[in-house]
Amino acid sequence: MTYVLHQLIMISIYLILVYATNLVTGLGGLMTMAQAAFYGMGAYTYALVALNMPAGFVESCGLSMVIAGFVAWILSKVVLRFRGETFVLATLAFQMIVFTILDNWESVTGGSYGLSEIPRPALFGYEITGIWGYLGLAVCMAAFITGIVWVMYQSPFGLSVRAVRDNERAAESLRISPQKQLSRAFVISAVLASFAGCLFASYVTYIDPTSFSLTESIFILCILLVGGSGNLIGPFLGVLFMILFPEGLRFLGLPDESAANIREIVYGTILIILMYYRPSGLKGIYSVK
Amino acid sequence: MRKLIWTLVIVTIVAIFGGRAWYLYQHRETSENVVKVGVLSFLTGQYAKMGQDMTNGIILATEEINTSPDYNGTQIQLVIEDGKGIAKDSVNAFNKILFHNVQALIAMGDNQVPPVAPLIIQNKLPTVVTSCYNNEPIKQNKPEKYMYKNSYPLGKFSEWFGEYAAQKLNLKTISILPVKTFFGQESAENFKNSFEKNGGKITDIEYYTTTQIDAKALVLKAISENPDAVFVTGYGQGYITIINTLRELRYGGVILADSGVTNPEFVDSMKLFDGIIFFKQPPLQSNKSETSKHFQEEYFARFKEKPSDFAAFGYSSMILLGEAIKNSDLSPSGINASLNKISSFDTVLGKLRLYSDGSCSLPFMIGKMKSDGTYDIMETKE
Repeated sequence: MTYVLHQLIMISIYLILVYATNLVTGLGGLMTMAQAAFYGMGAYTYALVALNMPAGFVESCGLSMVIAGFVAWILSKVVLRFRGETFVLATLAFQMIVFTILDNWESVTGGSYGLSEIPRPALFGYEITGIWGYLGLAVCMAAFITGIVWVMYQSPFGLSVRAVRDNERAAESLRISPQKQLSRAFVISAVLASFAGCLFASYVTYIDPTSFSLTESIFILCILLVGGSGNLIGPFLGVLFMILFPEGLRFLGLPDESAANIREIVYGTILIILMYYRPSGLKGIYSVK
Repeated sequence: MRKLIWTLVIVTIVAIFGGRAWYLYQHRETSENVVKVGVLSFLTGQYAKMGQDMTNGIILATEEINTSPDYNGTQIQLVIEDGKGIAKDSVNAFNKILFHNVQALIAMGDNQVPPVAPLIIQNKLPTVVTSCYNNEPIKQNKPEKYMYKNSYPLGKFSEWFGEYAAQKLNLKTISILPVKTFFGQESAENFKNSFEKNGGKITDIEYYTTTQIDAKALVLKAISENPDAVFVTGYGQGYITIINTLRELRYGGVILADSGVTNPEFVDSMKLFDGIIFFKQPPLQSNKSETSKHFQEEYFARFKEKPSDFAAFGYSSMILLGEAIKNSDLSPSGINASLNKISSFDTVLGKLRLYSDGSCSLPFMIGKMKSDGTYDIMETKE
């Protein structure tokens, strides 16, 4: 049962991450490689505050989100000058910088040692230590953020970001500032990603830089590619597929010596087939450019 | 029509996986004399070779236990899961292992053990921890001990080596080149502290990656102040690159290293290692005991390659756990109580000493490599 509950918690956390990415990549049409960096920033800020200060869960998360938002705002001034492949490279560079800092600033982040014994969240005086309690927290937060994201997609803000994606010049002619709207999307995306990082850190209670590397950014983008972007259902299906399918492969009963390697081959092959037959994902509106 | 076909395909796949998972869940109870042992390994990713070696050692030991008359007919069933050497995936893999109602666990890896340590304590699962140089998980062994280390105490060994370098080799300045992982960081820090405590000076620390193929700039910076010696610590292709680069640049000082130089994987690089002074637990090949010879022969026969020290650690971890299982009532608490009573154990790598906090020690040696892969022993410590 713990196994199933654990999968549900990871689905909730990744749902928040992917909806956050969908704002920039799906609606905004800009493929960002920096999501894992904000995810990591959120996790590390939460862990450092929770370990070293008398701050609760809400305060630690709040501070993480504010810091991530501020960094994203400054970064947007630079990266949003670019579009297409150049934007991808610029965000990739930021991802590498953040990873290098996390991996090398040993006195603060612990470097390769990581940070362990991160306290579990405590809400309204109640410490959430059991997996059921944590599942409740993760699912509630995921549902809440899904609601916010849904409202955002339908709002004038969401529509204007889509307009910028479809035709920037036409949007400008309608007095929609692409820079402003994309910057807002970028900042909101970073804030939500950092909150997902806080949830992850407080759940696993140990973090190290390897959990927030470029591989993780690519994994998040893959979820959007597979599930589809631009709406609510695509990312949701993507998360379900990318989290549950590899776990399902563990039950295939393959010989122990080669099971792990065969699983990776099967997983990769299925992804390629899926992309070939469904380039806009399982239920997406847009093909990711 | 296409939509219908796709829907049917997806539903079929989900039904197959879900059905199999349900079947395994319903049949996860074991018969009386079968003990399920989980293995949290890393079979894919950058540490795959090491993880595979350790898992092979565990598989070999399990086969021996299952055919041995000394275990009262107890059969061990392995549940092997891949944590990929990443925190998130190791928690996934651990939860999958729990799904099978295992009675004990062998966990490995500096990135895998820390995130699952709280879960091990929570689930009261007796666990042998191998290839984990991080001592943080062991500190969580309270109020009761559930984790028992079987790794060489990297911190302690690095400290002794630092002391040796200052006092016996009379080196005054050293530059350190550690791999950019927990292993390298731990080794470098302990060596540095000990060397400086004994009057030496560390001139530079430059990290390399396991996959590094060009290290000229890095090495040039490390030797720019002409240190008496360079200490290279770590593993992987980067390890060979660093030593190769030092040779290419005709570095005239002493090269210090660690266990990597005796890794059978590096057999083609033996000439590079000529003259290098290294520390480690006595290598597998030096252990002339019957158990060790038997292990090396059986491993070669089974897997068609010479066993590395990682394989030996996997093997000895399973043998240690087997010994505890033999003297228990086969329940997790019984196995844990039995493990708790073991304070020393003869392994294929020498005498393992287990301490009350879950940490351990192994014999330690310092040697000097020769170009044919053999070495002279310069100092040993129990």
